[in-house]
Amino acid sequence: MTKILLVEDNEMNKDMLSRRLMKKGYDIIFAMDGQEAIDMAKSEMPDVILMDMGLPVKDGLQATKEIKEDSTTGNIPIIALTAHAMAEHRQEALDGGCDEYETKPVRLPSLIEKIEQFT
Amino acid sequence: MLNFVQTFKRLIIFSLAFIILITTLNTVRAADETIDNNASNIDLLWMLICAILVFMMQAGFMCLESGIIRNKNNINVALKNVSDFGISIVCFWTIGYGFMFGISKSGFMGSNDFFFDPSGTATSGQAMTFFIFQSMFCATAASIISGAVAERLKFNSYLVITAIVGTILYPVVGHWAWANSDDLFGGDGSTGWLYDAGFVDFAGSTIVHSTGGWIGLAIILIIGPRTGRFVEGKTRKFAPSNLPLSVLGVLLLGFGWHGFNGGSNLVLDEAVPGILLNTFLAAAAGIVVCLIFWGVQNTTAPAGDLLNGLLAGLVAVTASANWVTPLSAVIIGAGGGLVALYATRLLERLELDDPVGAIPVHLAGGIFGTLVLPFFAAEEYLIGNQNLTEYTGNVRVNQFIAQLIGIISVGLYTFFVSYILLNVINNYSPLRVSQEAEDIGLNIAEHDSSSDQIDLLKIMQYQNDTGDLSVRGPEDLFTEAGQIGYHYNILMGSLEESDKIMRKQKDDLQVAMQNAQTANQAKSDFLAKMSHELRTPLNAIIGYSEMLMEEAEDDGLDTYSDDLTKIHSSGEHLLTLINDILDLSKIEAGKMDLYIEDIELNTLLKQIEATAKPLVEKNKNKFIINNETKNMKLKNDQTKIRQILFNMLSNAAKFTNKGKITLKIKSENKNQIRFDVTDTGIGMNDEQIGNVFEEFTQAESSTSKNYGGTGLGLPISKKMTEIMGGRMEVESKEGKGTTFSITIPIVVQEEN
Repeated sequence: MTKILLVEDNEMNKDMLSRRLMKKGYDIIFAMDGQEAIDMAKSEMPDVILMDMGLPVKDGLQATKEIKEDSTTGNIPIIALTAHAMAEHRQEALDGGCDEYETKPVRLPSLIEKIEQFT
Repeated sequence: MLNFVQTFKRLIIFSLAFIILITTLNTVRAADETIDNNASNIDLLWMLICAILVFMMQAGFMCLESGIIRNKNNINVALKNVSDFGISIVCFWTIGYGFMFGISKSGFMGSNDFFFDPSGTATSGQAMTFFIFQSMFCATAASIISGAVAERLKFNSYLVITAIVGTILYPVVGHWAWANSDDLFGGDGSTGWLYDAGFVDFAGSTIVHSTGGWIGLAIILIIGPRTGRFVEGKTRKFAPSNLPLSVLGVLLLGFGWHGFNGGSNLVLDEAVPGILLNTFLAAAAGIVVCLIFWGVQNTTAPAGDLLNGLLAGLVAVTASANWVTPLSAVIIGAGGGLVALYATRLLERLELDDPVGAIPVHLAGGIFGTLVLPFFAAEEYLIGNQNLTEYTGNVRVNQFIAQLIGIISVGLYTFFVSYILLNVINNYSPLRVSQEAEDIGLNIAEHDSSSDQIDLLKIMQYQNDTGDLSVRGPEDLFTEAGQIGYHYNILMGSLEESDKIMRKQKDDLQVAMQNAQTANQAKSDFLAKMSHELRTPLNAIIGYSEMLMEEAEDDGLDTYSDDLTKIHSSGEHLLTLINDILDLSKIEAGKMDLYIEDIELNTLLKQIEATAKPLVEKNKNKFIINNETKNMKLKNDQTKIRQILFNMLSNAAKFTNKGKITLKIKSENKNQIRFDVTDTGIGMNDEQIGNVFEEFTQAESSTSKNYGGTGLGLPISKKMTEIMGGRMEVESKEGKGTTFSITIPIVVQEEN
């Protein structure tokens, strides 16, 4: 079963997205902020990380950078999730080391397509 | 200049010493002779009155010249006029009179009567009267020159010229024509050579007037025209500063001329009334002919022409006033006026600058009057001219030849002597003032004089240069310039006041503009923040409704699925609206940047097709993509192109039912690509087309109810297209369908 680390601080978004993904048969683990995401990535070694960009403690960009720099977690694909539907944020995320990009509100078929491409 | 003055002084001292010696010897001899003196006292009275009348001509020249030139030089011209009187009289007394009327050496010049003093002789009264009269003539000849050279000749240069005129120029030619010493007082019967040649010039058309004119001509050839008078072949006229003063001057000259001609008869007899009649008839004819000349051209005569017409009439008749009939005087006067008129134009064409027209009046008028004398004079006078050589059998022709000889010899002598002498002096010390002096005016430059007008002009100039409105001009309610200054100051006061208000308003405006910019920035920031904040809960609404829809479907709860769809689509609509407002505020704030990347057109079209196909086919429409390009690669903002095309397609889909929607792609002008989205939908009328790119307007306000949409998609798409350096257009027919098209650069330059 594909293990997905969902990094999201908003309770509702976390609940909604995880329930929909679990329904599709994914194993979901959570992190609430950037630092937790880094730790979880190391300890759990998920198959894919869904990373929100606006996070407390350490923001998504910083967390992505550190995960990618770490040799153990560096190969885990990261899909950025952000509410900013603007091109500069997309570019920022991709430049910051994310492998893919999905805007919020998430369109589930499109997100699943992107997850599947890494598994 | 100083060197020259010193040399000149030495020359005078040596000459004086020499002359005193000769004079002493001659006076002794003259005293020995007894002359029978028959002159009645009435003749003396007449001559003295005439001399005083001629003196008035000095005032006439002063008024004429200072009125016709510019204000900045009027004091200079006036002072030249009074100084030339002084210098010419002193020179004439010391040397000039002796050269003119002393005992002749070969008819060329006189040799005694220097430092004129006949006291103690039997004819001293007559001699003194004659001297007074003749010295006034010398002053007149000198004064003529000042007009021609006005506004650019140095004051000191002019004084030197006057001294030369009063010593070696005027007295010498005067001697040639008028020395007839057996008539006079203590002479030996020797005469001037022109007199001997039969040359006749009654009161000095040639001897006085042309002499002044020739010397004036020589000087203006040396010093050149006033700055700005002739520029690139164009003649500029300077407006007279005080024309009524000039008219007064002409009238004073006419007044004095009665003495000039009347006194030249030397006695008061029956000839005098005729001479005076001829004199003022010629003056009248001179001005009338100018009035007629301009009248037939349906134009008012220029002031200068009228004044000079009158004067030229006087100059012309001066040669023959005692020998012609009144009718002839009228013809000669009229001829003189016309000659002056044409001579004025000739001078302009030759770019010779004579500010007051002294050369046309005195030189041209003088030559004319002298030359026509033989044809108007009564024959008995010509026959009576004992000195006339019999060149031909015709006495008029003989006289004409004598006149020609006189005119040419006087011209050659006065012109060349003055030209050569002054050229030498000019090389030594320039006769002309500096450009700077000419600009500020000779009143200030040469005499340190100032006037209210000049002060006012200086202040105006200062204000013009500095923009300082706080300075004020001189005020004096008793002078014209002072009154102008007073009102100018009031004007300046108001101007300064309104300037202050304007400056304050400008500052206020700047502050207001800054505030507006800040407010606009705040608005954009607020919108960006708000739209972000709104999106988070919206995500939840859309997400949960979507999830519920899936669950309702899975669980077969169809009763909820309609309502859930409504919640979901409202959420989507709200999201679009928020995104659009954010885009718009970015565009308005100039923050909409392009992210240029390499795009494979085919990949882009595949993505578009995938996204738009479900939307387009929802209303049972057929979706056709017609790509006329091959393997096109773009360098442009992929996201924005996608957003624009999606907007165009969803728009088309929205207003088309069971129709056909075509996306056509073709390249245009080699470096542009064009996308056309054509539908077979409801179309628009002209008014709707006009509003289609306006923000928050849909083709019909009721449309949004039926079809949904924010009314922002098209304005945003259009603006994005323009940011790329492209354009968006629409074509539509009501009931037939609509085509929206964008034309954008294939490769966007980075700076765009």
